[in-house]
Amino acid sequence: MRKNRLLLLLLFIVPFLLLTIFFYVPMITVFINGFSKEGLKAVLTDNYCRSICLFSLKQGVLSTLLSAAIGFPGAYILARYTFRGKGFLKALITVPYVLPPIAAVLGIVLLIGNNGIINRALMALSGAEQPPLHLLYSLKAILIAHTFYNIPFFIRFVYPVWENIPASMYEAGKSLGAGRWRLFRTVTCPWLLCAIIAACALIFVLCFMSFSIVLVLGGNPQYSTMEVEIYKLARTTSNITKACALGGLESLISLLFISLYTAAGHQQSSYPLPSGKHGTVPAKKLSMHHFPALIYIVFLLIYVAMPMVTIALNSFTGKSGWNKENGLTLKWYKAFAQPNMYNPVFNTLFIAIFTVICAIVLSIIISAVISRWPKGSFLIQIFFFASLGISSILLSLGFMLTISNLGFRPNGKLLLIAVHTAAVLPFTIKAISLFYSRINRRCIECAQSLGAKQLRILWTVKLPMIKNGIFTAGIFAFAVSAGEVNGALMLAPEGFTTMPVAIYRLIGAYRFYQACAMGTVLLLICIAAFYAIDRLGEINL
Amino acid sequence: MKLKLENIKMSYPGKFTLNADLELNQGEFHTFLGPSGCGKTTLLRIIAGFNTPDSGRIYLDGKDITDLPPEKRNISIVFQDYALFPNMNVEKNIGYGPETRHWPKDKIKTRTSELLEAVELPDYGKRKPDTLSGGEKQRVALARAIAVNPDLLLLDEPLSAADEKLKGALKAQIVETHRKNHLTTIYVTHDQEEAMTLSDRISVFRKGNIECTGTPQEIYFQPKTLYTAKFIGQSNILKGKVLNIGELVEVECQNQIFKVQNRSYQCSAGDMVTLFFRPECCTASQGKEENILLGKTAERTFYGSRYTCSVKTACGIIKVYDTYPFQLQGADCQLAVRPENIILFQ
Repeated sequence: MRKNRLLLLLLFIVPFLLLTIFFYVPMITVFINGFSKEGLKAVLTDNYCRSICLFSLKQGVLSTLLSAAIGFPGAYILARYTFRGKGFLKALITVPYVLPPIAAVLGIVLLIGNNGIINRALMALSGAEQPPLHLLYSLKAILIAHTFYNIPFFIRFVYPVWENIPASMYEAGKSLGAGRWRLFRTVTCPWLLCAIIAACALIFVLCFMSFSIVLVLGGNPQYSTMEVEIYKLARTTSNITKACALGGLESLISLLFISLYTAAGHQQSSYPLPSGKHGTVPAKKLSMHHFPALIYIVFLLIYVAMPMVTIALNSFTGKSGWNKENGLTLKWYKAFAQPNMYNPVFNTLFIAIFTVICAIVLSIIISAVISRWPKGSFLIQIFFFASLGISSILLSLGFMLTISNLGFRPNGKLLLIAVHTAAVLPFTIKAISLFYSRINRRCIECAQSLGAKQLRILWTVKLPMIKNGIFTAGIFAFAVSAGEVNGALMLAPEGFTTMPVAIYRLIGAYRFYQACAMGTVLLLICIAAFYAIDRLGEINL
Repeated sequence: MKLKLENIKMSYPGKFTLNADLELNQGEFHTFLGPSGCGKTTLLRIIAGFNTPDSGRIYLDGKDITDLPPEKRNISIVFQDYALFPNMNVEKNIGYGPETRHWPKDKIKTRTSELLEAVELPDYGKRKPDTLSGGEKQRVALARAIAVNPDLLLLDEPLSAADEKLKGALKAQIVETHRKNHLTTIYVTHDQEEAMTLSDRISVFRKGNIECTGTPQEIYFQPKTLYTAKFIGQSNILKGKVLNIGELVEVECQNQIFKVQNRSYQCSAGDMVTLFFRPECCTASQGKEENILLGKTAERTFYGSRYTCSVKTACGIIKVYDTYPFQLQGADCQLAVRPENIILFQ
């Protein structure tokens, strides 16, 4: 027994050291630089920096409030009604979990751009010669993209909690004379409060640290955020100290909200689950009488599906450049025979596969330690989940700094895998440890008493029992790595382009059709991943 | 195989310290009986090798196995929740132990089929555990445990999840398995009826200590401690003062004189003692017996096959099992308790 524990502790040193080297050392380097006198002075005395900080907060708060406000009815409808296509809608709102932001950006540009589908439709209807809507490169465009992501996120987060409010709570309330409004105020709202706070905190962090959406859709310097500014300072002006200071401030704010998310999530998990045959409130059948709900469902379907459908349709449309007659064509896909198109695909797969391997191996070890040492699990989770509040741009900056201090340059691909692994680790640990915690300890003891040694138990009992967790985590890690643009822009070696970077450059060069073909391939990879996750289990953030 | 537990100690700070000295004979069916949290499962886990005692040694057929890991002890265990491997079918579950021991494939197959027949599940080999009922799972778990011909079989409350009807069938299965395989078996339970009906010997646990060990009859009718007397079944307990000691010990209890068979009690006249006798030892008096108690029936509780009557006597409430003669509430009655059926505790 003691020998096994010792072995596990020794194994635990591997992820501990790796995360220390590839996450904590770079981040501490950033903070030492950033929180220096010069760093803080450079940020706090610069009006432009202050306005960027305020804009980052403003767009984060607005995106969060809009997502929560629009998502709330969706959570209610999914929790309390049954209707044909509910399964499809639930699946669809999972897509943004794995959809690369750059693909969403592309879809939104094609939808709301000056020559986008919406403007062309309005021009055709009104006969106007100029596009009536000027949404691109504004706060509105950023909000549209953020809500596209986070309305489904909010719904997905809140509706299971709503669905699982024990029916006995309502029955007790009703028997004491409470009406519908009072029940909503005194039962539903308090029950959902923690879930809403947790969802909003996480949405805020995601929007606050959003990179590619702001980089492309903000455009104008006045719509730049701290994250984009760090990238610009590090890559173009090489003002590393200022970038570090901005990054340090950004991390402090995001870690504050991550703590709020963790505390609210912890509180939520202490609520009792419904039990028994009549444990939850039965869902009502949605009919034509529920007109507002039907309208909402149609709106949600269009809002979430449109950017993706637009990309897919445009990838089969002919003739490059705007304002030309288009026809159906496969020429953008035929271009994948060219190295500049197929190389990014291979590069993306290469990085994603190695990220999956690293993340899974580390997560299994960490989950094993968490399950054997439940008292220390909170500390372990804090240690490994800290990367949740740190952007990959900042981590990449940390790498660049550490490397320059050390005086040698390791392989850029290795660094990219490290950044991706650090980014997905909180999620993969969560997915695998969820299944690991469900392993019946008695099964392991039975296997031991039947003569099996640790390695055989791992192979024949533990791994088969957590395989769904491993697949879910692996697919999720794959999808996130495949769609990640921030680290790739910062760290990828010369001539090494991944698919999201290729899409970003194609958008920059106004080669939208080619970008759409690349985006569709990326989308297909991610949708296949999402489908597999949906079949195997759920992602619990 | 013989099992010997020598000075086993394990402390649970704030709860109890487990102390155990015990010897089990070859082929014995031994039950650890006690309330929840008294250390019986802890001792079982120490024997299996899942917990390490602070001190003491465990010998299996004379061989010291204290420091052996569970996988090297050849001791099988069946848990309350069966712990079948959900990723394997029934056949694979049963064959897991033999496969771990690198038995030839045909031997594993023969053994698996033989055990499936024995537990009356011959066509269940390809089924997954989640398609089985509770009783079927329990039988598969039992087959898996004995597949490797263990030196010792441990059963940790295997019937606690079963309903009353199923319990009967599963008990018969356990008895049959024990009889056929002559396995030294330890059975953990808090259910007195299970302990009484299945065991060759019972150890009663209290706060980490083995209070007493004996056959079910010894434990029931001649308990060595007052705790055991109170814990098992229903009992009549009275306080009294020793008057005379001879072949029979005379004890006065609220002016009622009880004559008790002397079992070499170390007491003297004037000592305060506790008298104990079972309700079924109280019979309707014919007027000539040694200990006659007069009283009135107070309450009657129906238990299907019998009634339990509370009779108000001069020395307190006495519990009696019967159908006749105390059918009327408040009726006068006369009870008798034979001296050999009364036990004294100091």
